Amino acid sequence: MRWMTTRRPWRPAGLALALCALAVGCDDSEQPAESAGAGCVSDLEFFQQQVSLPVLEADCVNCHNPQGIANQSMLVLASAGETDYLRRNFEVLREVAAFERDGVNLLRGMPTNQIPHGGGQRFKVGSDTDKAFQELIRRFDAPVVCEASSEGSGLLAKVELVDLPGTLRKAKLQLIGELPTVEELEQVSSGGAAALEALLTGYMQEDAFYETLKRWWNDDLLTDKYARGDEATNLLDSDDFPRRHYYRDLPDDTEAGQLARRWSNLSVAREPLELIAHVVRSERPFSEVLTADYMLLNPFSAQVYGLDTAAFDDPLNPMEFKALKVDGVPHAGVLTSPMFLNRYPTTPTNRNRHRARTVYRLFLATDILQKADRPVDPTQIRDHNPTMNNPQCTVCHASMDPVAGAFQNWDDRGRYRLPEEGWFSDMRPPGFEADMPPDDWGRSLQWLAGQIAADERFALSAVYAVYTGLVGRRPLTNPQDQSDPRFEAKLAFYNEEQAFLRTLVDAFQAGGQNLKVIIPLVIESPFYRALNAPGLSEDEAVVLAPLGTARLLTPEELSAKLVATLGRPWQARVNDRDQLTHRDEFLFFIGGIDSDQITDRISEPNGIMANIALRMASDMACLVTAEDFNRPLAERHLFPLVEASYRPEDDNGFAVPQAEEAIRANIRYLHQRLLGEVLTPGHPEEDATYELYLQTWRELFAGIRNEQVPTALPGRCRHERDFWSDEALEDDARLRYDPEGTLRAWHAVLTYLLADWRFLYHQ
Amino acid sequence: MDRRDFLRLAGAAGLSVMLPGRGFAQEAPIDHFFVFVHAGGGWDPTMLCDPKGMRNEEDEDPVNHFLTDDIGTAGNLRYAPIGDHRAFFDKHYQRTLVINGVDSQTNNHDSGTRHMWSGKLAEGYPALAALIAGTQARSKPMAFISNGGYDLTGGLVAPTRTGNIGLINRIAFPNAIDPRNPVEGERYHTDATYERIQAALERRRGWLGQRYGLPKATATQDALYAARVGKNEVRQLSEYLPQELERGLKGQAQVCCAAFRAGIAKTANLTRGGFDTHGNHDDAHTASMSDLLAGVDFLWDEAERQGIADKLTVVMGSDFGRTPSYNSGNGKDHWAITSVMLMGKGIPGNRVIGGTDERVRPLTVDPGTLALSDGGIRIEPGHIHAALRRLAGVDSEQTVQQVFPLIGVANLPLLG
Repeated sequence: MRWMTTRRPWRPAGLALALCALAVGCDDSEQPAESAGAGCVSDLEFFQQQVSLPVLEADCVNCHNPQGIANQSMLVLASAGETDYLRRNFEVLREVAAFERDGVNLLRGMPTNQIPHGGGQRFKVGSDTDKAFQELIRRFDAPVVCEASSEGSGLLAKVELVDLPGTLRKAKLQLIGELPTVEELEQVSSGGAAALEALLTGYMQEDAFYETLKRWWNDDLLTDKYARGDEATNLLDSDDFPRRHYYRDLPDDTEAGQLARRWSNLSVAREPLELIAHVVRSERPFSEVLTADYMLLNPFSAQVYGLDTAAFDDPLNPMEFKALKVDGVPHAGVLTSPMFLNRYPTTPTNRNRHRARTVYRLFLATDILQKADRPVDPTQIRDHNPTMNNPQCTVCHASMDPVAGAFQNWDDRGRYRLPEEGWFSDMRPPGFEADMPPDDWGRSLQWLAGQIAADERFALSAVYAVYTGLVGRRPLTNPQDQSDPRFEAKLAFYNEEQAFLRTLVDAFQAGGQNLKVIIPLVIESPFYRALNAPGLSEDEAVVLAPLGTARLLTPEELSAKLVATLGRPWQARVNDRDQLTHRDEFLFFIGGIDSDQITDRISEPNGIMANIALRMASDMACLVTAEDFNRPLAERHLFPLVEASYRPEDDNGFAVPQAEEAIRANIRYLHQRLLGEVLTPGHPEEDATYELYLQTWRELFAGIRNEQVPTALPGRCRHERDFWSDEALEDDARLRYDPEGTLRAWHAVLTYLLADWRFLYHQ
Repeated sequence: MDRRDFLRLAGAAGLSVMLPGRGFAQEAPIDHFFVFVHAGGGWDPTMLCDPKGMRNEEDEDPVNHFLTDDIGTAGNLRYAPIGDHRAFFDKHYQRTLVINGVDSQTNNHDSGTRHMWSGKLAEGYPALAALIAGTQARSKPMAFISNGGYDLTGGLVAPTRTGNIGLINRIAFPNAIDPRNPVEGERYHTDATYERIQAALERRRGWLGQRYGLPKATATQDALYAARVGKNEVRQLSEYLPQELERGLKGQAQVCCAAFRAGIAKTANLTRGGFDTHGNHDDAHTASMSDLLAGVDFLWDEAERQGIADKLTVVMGSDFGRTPSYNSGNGKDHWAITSVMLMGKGIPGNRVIGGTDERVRPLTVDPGTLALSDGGIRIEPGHIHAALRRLAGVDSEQTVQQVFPLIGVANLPLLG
């Protein structure tokens, strides 16, 4: 008997609604395509709750997966580990539901075995599962769109948020490494979210913002591996770019020579990151990071590539960038950057698959290997050319290999070289989801870039990158352990985050893929501003465990915070190495990366890191206390409300109320400046810090009086040289003594505050 | 209060330390150290401990390019006749157990590395090094030293990464201005003031927990506090570090042995990449393999020098294996079947368990006798992890049983 499968005619909503009597959770009102208000269950939610979780993921996927025995059927499901798997499976089912045999819809006819099913009957006609499938088919015909998102876990309602001024401080420090001014805080206090957004928009014009942006993307691209020495320019072919080392020939006693040595390699190494920054800065569609038919070069990198520098206003300005082309090279943004191509190299047998996987990961929010999360059994792989023929291999290679083919014109050294014998005949042809038109083979990566840019997962990847940068973790993966008693709550919280990310994608697309659009949206959201959640049950605490932005500051962020709050980085003199960010200092101990061998940041402190934080606190306090007291009152960063002569007690041990009041006021000032805490007078935390000050001062003052403690400050803690100019101060302008012990008491207070969790962590 | 006391009191008081609500046994003195050596990229066991060779020069599809007749033996172990393998195996075979035919069930680097070192193909389980350190030595400031590889901790313990070890005095003595004279030299603060600052930091923790009480926030506060409690113990490391450190695997071995000797670390991950030889396999793999074995040999010498060799267990493994055939570029691609080598304390040496056929397909073993047996069990990383968990004594830990169980994994008597 030959079965005839036919595509169903489009069914009007009214007819579909007639099925409602049979359906599960069906609204029998005459709402054709939209529903709203409380209780509304969107199609995707319905699909997840009633079909995907209890049926597809629990049963069907065992055969209907790319490696399974039903992998040649219409129903091939994405695994739950894949990005956006729910939406994709929803579409797969929609396609299957478009067909019927003898009047029975394929989607429910097969599992009920009304239509012969290789897997036999999975559920009975008329069962609850069958009703759920009927309802899903009805919804395919008459989509239910809810106006508001679902109620979600409801747990976010229990969360206290950072107020807007606090949010501003947090965001400004993170985006550009500066503290908000008093005026800005007042603007936000009076102007609310609109004022906050306006200020954020302003910060996104600052150069420092683009340094942050480049750091976010480098954590993924890792092209800073080549930032040192000649490591980037060495990667370039000397025949293609005979001037790749031009800077070596310049005299090193000239400004041009010195600048060229300093900037040429670094600018070449950072070209893909500069392109990303440029696209965002100029508010172009973010897809241009892939579709740019140019390279972003400054005068130094332009010379490396042998290009004319006449276009530059200032040939010695490393911050001046131009969109330039190398003759004969079909540029495709990051994809054709020699740095990207070398950072993700290929071999004769790898055949660009590493590059393809990276493209999926970075620009399509897809870990392609999640498709093959199921165990592979090599003893079952006996096919000829298994990557083409064996389901154990094709599960990944069917998607990966066409993209690998798109890199066909770029060799293992990242050079543009058309393959003499064409692409491999034993691999899938170049393409992306579909084959690449032969006319485009000469510009295959440009073609690929266009395809990716049009894929919705590209927008998702951009949103994920921004969200990860700001919140400090990647978006949640969907919970899969249905035996977990907290499964439903975790799923609801996951759905809440997904719904939020979806709004970001929509805003990103509506804004012409302007990346800046989504940054304020994340910053204003509870996912960024969550502060406290008193009274959570143990179960709720587990579900909300990922919420919030608390994480150790990276070495780069901590260094920037020191400059923002104390006015200088952690180094004794301006030409010394930064103790936090230099690879020969503490960088790797405190979780930094080198973009080469060390590519993951450590987020949990260990005993080593704790000690380094204590040393940093003590040393910075030592370096800046005398320095700050040596400034005029109005110019001080840290002690604008006290003088070194303010002692809390007189010689007879009696309190000096005016001095105590000033000291307490300065303590409140320091809590706000360093920790972002606004303390009211008499606050217990003010009392505690004052007590530390007072006890330390008493100890030192007594020691000074009985000559057990010297009046001279330790050499490192004296102020004898201007930090930024590195010029020695006149003898009478130096501050070397602490005859009252007050400087060292403040030194203790600063150490205490700089070692605090609030200072060391981003929250 | 030292770190151990703090953790004990924290547990008694129900305070959360990194993993809220999870109980941990009281820590005993460390008398057993573990080093996990990862050959990054997927090594070829036929170039190490499961050699096949080729019958003659006319063999059209050989597994190896050395002759079968040249395969070496040391006791009951067989080894590939390349590099300095002979010297290594002659020296160490009595302390070495080889497990061949281990099925990693994947050709993917990340998944294979995860499976090999967590015992679980799926995501989420910590590295065994973290599991052991987190349950038995969490109070130590460098409990788990990671030089890369798979180092997911599951929140059990903070990994320690090392950099310029010449800075160790500046790290060990944070109140000393001059690291060259940390004890007698100038201090930032008097001892009394330094103690006062730390007491103030401890006091403030309670208020922080109330004011910034999201679960993630309190977990990070706890983590920072726990890291601080053992800060003084770091000083002991400086006593045992060599004056000059080697590079690469040998340098990693020096640091971990010194930390073991100082009693401040329990486990370490050592890594050596360069095994993903899709092209020019023999030359590249021989170089990487020789360096790997030289590093492990050095590790044992260093362990002897530090007096901890009798307390040390070493496990060597990789992402997966490599194909039985050479590809057109004279390389070898990914193959899920691999081998694991175990050495030292608690390991029955001079023994081979499991095996592969002539095309590196896994052979099954009898679950009771471990003899090769048709219809028996195919050895997977989980089996080895179950045995190592028992050896380390962490299999009965509450956290391990409740949070990271190896469900459905047979208990094979791999270690006796």
